[in-house]
Amino acid sequence: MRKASIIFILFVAHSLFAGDVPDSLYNEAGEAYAAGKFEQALDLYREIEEMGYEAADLYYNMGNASFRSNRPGYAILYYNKALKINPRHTEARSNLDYVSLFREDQLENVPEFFLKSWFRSLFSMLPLKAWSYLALTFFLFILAGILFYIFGSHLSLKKTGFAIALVSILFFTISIAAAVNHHRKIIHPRRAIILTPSVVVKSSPSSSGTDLFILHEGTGVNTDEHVGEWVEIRISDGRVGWIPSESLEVI
Amino acid sequence: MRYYKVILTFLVLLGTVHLNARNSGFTASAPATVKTGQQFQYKIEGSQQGEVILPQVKDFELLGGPFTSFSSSTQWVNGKMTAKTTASYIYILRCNKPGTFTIPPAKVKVKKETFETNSVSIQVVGEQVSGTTGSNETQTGQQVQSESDQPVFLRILPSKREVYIGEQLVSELKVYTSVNTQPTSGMKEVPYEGFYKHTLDADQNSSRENINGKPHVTQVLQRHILIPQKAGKIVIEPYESEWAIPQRVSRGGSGFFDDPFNDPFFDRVRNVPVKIATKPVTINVKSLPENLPAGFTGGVGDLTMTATLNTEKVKVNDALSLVVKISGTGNIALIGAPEISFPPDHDVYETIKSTSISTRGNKVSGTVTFEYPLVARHAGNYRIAPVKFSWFDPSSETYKTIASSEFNFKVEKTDSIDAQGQIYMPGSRGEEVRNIGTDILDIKRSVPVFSTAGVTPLSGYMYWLAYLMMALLFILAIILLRTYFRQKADARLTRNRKASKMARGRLKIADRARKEGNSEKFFEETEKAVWGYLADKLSIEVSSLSLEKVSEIIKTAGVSGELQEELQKIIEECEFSRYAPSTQKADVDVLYNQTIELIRKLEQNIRSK
Repeated sequence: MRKASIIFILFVAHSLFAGDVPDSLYNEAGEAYAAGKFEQALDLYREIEEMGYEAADLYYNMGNASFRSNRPGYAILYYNKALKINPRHTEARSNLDYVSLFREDQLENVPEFFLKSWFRSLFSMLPLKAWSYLALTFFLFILAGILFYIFGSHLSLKKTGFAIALVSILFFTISIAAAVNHHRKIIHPRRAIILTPSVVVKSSPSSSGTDLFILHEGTGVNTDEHVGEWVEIRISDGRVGWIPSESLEVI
Repeated sequence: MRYYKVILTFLVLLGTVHLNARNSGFTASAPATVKTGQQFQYKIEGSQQGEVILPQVKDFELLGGPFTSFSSSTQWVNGKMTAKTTASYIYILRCNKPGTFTIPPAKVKVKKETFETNSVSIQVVGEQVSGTTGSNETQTGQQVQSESDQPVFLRILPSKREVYIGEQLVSELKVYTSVNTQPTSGMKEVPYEGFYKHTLDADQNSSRENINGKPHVTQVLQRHILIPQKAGKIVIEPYESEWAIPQRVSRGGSGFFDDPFNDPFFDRVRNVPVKIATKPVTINVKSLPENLPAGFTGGVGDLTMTATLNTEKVKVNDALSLVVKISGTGNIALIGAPEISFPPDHDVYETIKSTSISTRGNKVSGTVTFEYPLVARHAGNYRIAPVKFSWFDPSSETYKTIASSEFNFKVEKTDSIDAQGQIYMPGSRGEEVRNIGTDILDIKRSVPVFSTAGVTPLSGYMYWLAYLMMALLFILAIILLRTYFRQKADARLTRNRKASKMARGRLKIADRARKEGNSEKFFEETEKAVWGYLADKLSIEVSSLSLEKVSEIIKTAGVSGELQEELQKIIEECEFSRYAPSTQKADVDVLYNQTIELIRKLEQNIRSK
C-alpha cells in the first residue's frame, strides 16, 4: 500500500514536471522575442515542438519569430500549422495574409466547385476537437430523439422526438465529416510549403528531368506521391511536377 | 673672333677678381619680419642695370625671380639735364622655419665692375595660422610673374579658398591696368559654376596699387557672394573679356629720321582689342562633418530659429498654422523646411516658404519663413513636439541645434455648417482608419494548453468507445423501457379483467350489511364497489376519480347516456342515503339490484368497445 502510494506520488510529480518544462521554455522564448533575439526565440519554440507538444499559439509565435528572423517561408509554414490546429486563430490569419505579400509566387487559384469551397469553409469554422465532441453530442441527441419517438406517450412527444433525431442526424453527419476531414489532414498531411529560396520543378522524379517551372520560398503546394527523395507536387493553378522533398515541409 | 672672346673672358675674370668694394647705391631690402611659409619679396635696387648674383641662402627657398624692372627719367633743370635711372630686381623667397636669418650681400655686376649690396636680416616668426593667405599669395606671385608686365590683367580674387559646403565666400573680379583702357563691350557676369551666387555692388571708384613695384590702377568690376553647392575641388574656369588697349605704333620706316624722332610723343596711339582671361582659380569645398544631426536641413552659417503656433484654440475644421522662422547670416535661400511631427489625424497642407535676403557687409543674411498650415479634423487636446533645427556653423566647425518649446492646442467641437451645407460629423466622411505602417501582430505571451502533436481525438479508441457505450446504453434503455411499459400494460389488463369480480366481492360485503340491517355500511360498500369498479376498468387511480371525469371517459368509451344517468343516480343515492335520516333512505334491495345490473351493463358496454 505504501509502495503503491509512493509510486503514485512519483507519477503525479513526473507529470507535473513534464507540464512545467514547455511552459518555462515558452516564457523564455517570449522574453527572447521581446529582447529582439528572434533566432533564439525560434530555437526555444522548436525545442517545445520537438518535445512533441503543439498548440496554435505556439505555431503562431514560431511564425512571428521566423518572419522576424527573415525566413518568410517558415513563417507561412508555421502560421498554416497554427491555423490547422485552430482555423479561427484570427491573428495567425492576419499575419499570414501580411507575410504572404512578401511571397514571390502569387499563384492564381483554379476556381473549384462551389460546394467544395463551401464545405471547406464550413469545416474550417471550428477546430478538430470541437467537431469531434459536437459529433458525439449530436449522436446522443439522435438516440434521445429515437427514444422519445418510440416511447413517447403522446403523439406530440413522438413528433418532437422524430424531429430532434432527424436534425441531429444532419448535424452529426456534418460534424463527423468535418472531424474526419481534419483528422485525415493531420494524420496524412498533404499540404506543404516551399522553404528553399527557389526550387526548380522537374517533370520526373530525377535531376535529369526537364525543368518545368520555378517555385520560391513560401509557396503552398499539395503533395502527392513520394519516390525516393522526390515528391510530386501540385500547385494551385493545377500544374504538376517533382521537386526534392527536402525543399518543402508539410503543414 | 675667337681672340675677341678670349679677351672678353679675361676681362670678365679680371672684373670678378678685382672686387670693387665700394657701394655704388645698390641696396637690398626685405620685410623685417615674415611668417614661416609666407612668401616675401627680396628686392635689390640701384641706379644702373647689371647682373645680379645671389648669395647662397640655404635657409630660404627661391620661388621666383628675378623680376626686373627699369625706369628712367630725365629732367631739365635750369638748362642742366639730370638723367635718373632706376633698376630693381625682385626675388620671391620663402622660409619654412622660424628664426632670424641673414641674407648675405648680393653681388651686382655692372659692366666690368662688381658691386655689393648690404646684407639683410629677416626674422621669421611663428606658425602660419591660415593656409589660405599663403596659397593666395602663391597665386599672386605666379600672376606677377606672368602678368605684371602686361598692361592690363584680370584676377578673380576669392576671399577664401577652402570652405565648407554652404559656407559663404566673397569673390571679386578685379582689373589691374597700367594704361588707360576700357572693355570693348559690356562685361558678362562670371558664371561661377557650382556655386549659388548673389551679386553685390561693385566698386565705383578705382584705386591704386603697386604690383611688383609698378603702379597699377585697380577696380573691382564684379563682386559676388558665392555659396558652394557640392563638395570637392571646384575650379572657376578662366573668364574672358575683351579690352581696348592703347598701343604705340611707330611711324614706320627705319630711315635716318629714326633716332631723333624715336620718341613716344611722336608715336601714334591706337586702341587694339585684346582678349584677356583670368587664370583658373580652385576652391576646395569641404563636405560637412559626418554626424549630421536629426534636424539638419542644409543650413550653414550663423543662424537662429523661432517657431510659433498662431493659435492655441481652434474649432474642428478650422485651420491653424505653425510658423518656423530661421534668420541669420548664411545660405538662407538654400535651407529646407525642418520636419515637424504633427499629431496624426490632421490634414497637413503644403509648407509655404518665403525668403527675404539682404546683403550687408559682404554677407548674405536674411530670414526664411516656413508656414505649415494644418486643419484640425477632430476635437481634442493635441501636442506638437518641439521643433528642432540644426545647422552647421563654419566658424566653430560644429553643428548647432536649437529647439522650440512644445506646442499644445485644443480643438473644440463645432456644429457649424461646412461649405457643402452639411453638418460635419466626425466620421461622416466615411474616413477609414488609416494604417500608418503595417506589420505582423505581436506574439501570444500567455502559455497555451499544449496537446500532443499528431494525436487527435479520433485517433484514440476512447472516442469511438464513447459511441459504442452510447449505443449500448441506448439498446439497454430500449429493452428496459419496453419491459416496463409492457408490465404496466399487463397490470392494467389484469385490473380490468378482475374489475367485475372485485366489484362483486364488495357487493357481497354490502349484501351482508343489508341482511344485518346496517344500511349505512351497505351504502358505503355499494359506493366503494362502483368507484372501485370504475377505477379498475378505466385504469384510473381511485383518489383522482370524480363523477365528471368518469362520465367524460365512459362517454368516449361509447357508453350510452342512459347508462351514464343510471350510474350518476346510483352514486348520488348512495352518497345521499349514507348520511340521510332513515325515513328518506332509498330502498336498499332495489339499489342493490340496480347496482348489480349497472355493473353488468357497464362490463358489457366497455368491453364491447
